[in-house]
Amino acid sequence: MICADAAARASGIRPGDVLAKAQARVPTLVTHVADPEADATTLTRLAGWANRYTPLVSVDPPDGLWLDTSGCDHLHGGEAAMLADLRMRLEQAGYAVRTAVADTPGAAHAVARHATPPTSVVPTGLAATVAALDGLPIEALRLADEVRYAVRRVGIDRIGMLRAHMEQGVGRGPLTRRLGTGVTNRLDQALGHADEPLTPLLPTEAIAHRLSFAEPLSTADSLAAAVALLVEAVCGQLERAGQGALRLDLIYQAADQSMQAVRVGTARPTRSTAHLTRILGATIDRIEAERGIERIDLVASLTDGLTFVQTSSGGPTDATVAELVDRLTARLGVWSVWRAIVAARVLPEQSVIRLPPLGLAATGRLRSTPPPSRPLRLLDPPQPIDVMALLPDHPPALFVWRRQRHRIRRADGPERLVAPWWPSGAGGVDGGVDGSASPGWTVRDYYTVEDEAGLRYWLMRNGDGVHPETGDLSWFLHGLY
Amino acid sequence: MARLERTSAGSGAAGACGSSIPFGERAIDMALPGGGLARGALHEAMGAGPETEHAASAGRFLAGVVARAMRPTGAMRPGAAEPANWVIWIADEPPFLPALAECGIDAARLLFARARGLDVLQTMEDALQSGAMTSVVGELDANLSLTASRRLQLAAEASGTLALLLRRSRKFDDPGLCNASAAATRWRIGSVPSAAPIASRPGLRGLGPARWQVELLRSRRGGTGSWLVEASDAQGRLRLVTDVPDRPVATPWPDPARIDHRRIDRRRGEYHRAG
Repeated sequence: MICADAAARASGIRPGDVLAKAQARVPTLVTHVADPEADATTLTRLAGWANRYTPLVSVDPPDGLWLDTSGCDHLHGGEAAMLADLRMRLEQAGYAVRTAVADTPGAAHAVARHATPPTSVVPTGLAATVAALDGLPIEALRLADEVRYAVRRVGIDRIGMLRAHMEQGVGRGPLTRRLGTGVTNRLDQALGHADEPLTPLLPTEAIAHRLSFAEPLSTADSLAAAVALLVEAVCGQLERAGQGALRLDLIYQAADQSMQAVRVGTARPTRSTAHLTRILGATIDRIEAERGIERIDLVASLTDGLTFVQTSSGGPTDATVAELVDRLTARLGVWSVWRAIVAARVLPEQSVIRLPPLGLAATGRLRSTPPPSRPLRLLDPPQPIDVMALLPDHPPALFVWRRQRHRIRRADGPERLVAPWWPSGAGGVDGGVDGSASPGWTVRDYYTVEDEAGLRYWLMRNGDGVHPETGDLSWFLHGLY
Repeated sequence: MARLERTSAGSGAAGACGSSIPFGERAIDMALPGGGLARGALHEAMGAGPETEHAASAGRFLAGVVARAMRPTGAMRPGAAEPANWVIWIADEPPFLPALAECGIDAARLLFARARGLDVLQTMEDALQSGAMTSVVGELDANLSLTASRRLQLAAEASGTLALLLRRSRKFDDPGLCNASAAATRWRIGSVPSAAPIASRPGLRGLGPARWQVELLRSRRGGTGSWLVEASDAQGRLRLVTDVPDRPVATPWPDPARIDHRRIDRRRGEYHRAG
C-alpha cells in the first residue's frame, strides 16, 4: 500500500500495509495500481495550473507543491483568502488537499502535512513559526528514514524538544555529531535561519523576455532601467501577437539562486510601454536586491485581445482612468479600488455591492420615488445604545452613546425593514411584508433623530414587538448623518 | 459692490464649465476669489465639535461640491470628448453610497479606493496627476504637513482637478486640523438644530432639511465668513437660511438658537487664537 484516502485510514489502513492484509480487514476496499509516472505528470500539470496564484511554483514530489506567494497574494485578497480559493478550486476538481501558508518552505511543508486543521495561515515572524512548529512530530522535518529513527531513539519525538535540545540542552555541536547535519539543517530551514532555495518551474509558452547580467544589479536605479528594457521587449511581442497584457510577472533571480517575484494585474488589456513601466517600476522597492540580481524575467502570464483603442483627443478618457486604476491597485492591492452600486436589498449593510473598478457599465438606476434619506457613515457593526422611549412605538426621547446623553429634539420614523434571515431564502418576499412578520424574518425599526445640538443619527430597534424570534427589542446606533 | 455682484452672477451663469464652482448663493460666492471654489486647487473641510471624528456633515458638504463640479455633458463644442466626470473617493472606511447618491453623485462614475494614513495623500496625488478624474476626495485622519499639502495643491493645479480633503480627528475641535497648509480654502461644517418641516407649524417634531453652520475659516486671497445653510440637496446645492431660527413653543427644551451661537462663538475664538 502506497497511499490511503481518509475513509481507508478511518478503517485502520495505513500506507505501508500489505495489500492482502488490508483487503482482509476491509473486504470492500477499492484499490488502484500505483502509477508514479502519471502522478508526477499530474503534479506538474497542477503546478502549471497554480501559476494563477504566483509565477513561482515548485514541485515537491511525490505529492506537494510549493507556491512562493510573496508579492502576489494581494491580488487575491490576502493570504487567507488566497488559500481558501485555492483549496476550494482543488476540492471541486476532486483532490483532497492540505494547505498552509508560512514564512519558510520548510514550515509550510510541516504545518500543511502535520498540523490538525487542514488549512492554516501561520502569521509572519519567528515567534509564530516556532509556536506553529513546536507541537508537530519530528516527521514534519522531512528527514530521511534512518535519521528519523535515530532521532526518535534518543527520545526526541516533537520538533519543540529538538529545538530545546539544540538551543539550551545538549547544544548544536553534540547533536550534530550524534544525528548528522541533516537534522539541524532542516530545523534551521524551517525556522528561516538557513535559506532553502526552491527551483520553480517557469512557464514556457507565454509572452516573455529575459535579461541576464554579467554584473549583478543591486541598486533600484539599475533595476528600474532593466525593467524598462524588459517592458519594451514584451510590449513589442504583445503588439506582434495583437494582444494586451492582463497580468504581468517580474521574476528576479539573485546571485545565490534565490528567486523573488512580483505580480501585477491590469484592469484592461494594455500594451502601453509608458504605463506598464510605471506600474512595474512602482514595485521595485519591494525587491531585496542586496545579494545582487543576476537575471530578470518579465512574463505576460495572462493576455487578451485589445478591446479598446486609446483615443488621442483631449480630455479624460476611460483609458486614463484604467491606467490610474492599475497604478492604484499595484500599490494598494486589488480589492482596494472598486465601484459600487446600491442593490435592491433590504438590510442597509447588504445594500451596497462592490464591483470591479472598470468593465460592465453599472448604472444603478435608483427608484423613481426618492428613497428615504440614509446616513453618510454606516457603523459596522451597529453600536448598542441605551434608549429612553416614552411610548413603545414612538421615537425615543433620549439615547446614550459612548456615555454621552443625546436628548432628541426631532425625529422621523419608524421605517420598518423586514428581511428574510437568508437573503435568497425559500418562499420569496411575500411572507412578511404586510407588517405582521412571520418567524424566519428579521425585523428592524429605524428612526432618524436629531439631538439638541442638531446632529442627526440613525437609530434602530430589533424586532417587531410581537414575535420574540424577530428580535429582542434592543436598540442600536447604525449610522451618522 | 454692484459690479462685484454682477461678476459673481456672471460666473454663476457660466456654470460648472469654468475654473470655479459657484455655490449659487451670492453671500458665499462673494467671499471666494473667482466667485466659487477654484478647480485645480486643494480645499479642506472638517467637522465641528463632536462631528470632528466622523465628519458626516462635512462629508455631505464635500459630496455636494463634487456633484456640482460635474462638467455638464452636451454643453461642450461638438466633436470634443464627452466629459467623463470620474470621481474617486479615498478613505479607510468609505462613506455609505446611498448618502453620496442623495447629494447628487453618479455612482457609475464613482471609484472608491481604500487607503489609510499617509497612503491617502499618495493616492490622492496619483489620482490628481493622472488627470483622469474631475474630482478627487480624500479622508485623512493623520496630520497634514505643509509640504504634503503643497504637493497636493501643485498636483491639482497642474491637472486642473478639484482636490478635496476631509480632515478627521478623534479629538473634538482638534487644533492640529488648523495648522498652516497650502490649501486654497478651509471649511468647517457643524450641524445646528433644524427648523420644523412645515414653517407654519413650529410645534411639529418631524425632520425637515438639516441645517449646518458653514464656516469659511480661511481662503487664499479671499475673506472668511460663517453662514447658516440648509444641507446639500439632491443636486448638491446649499440654501442660505434667511428666516429667523424657529423658537419651539411646545417643546420643553431650551432655545436651540442660543445654544448654537454660543458654541460657534467659542469655536471662532479658538480658531483666532490658533491662527
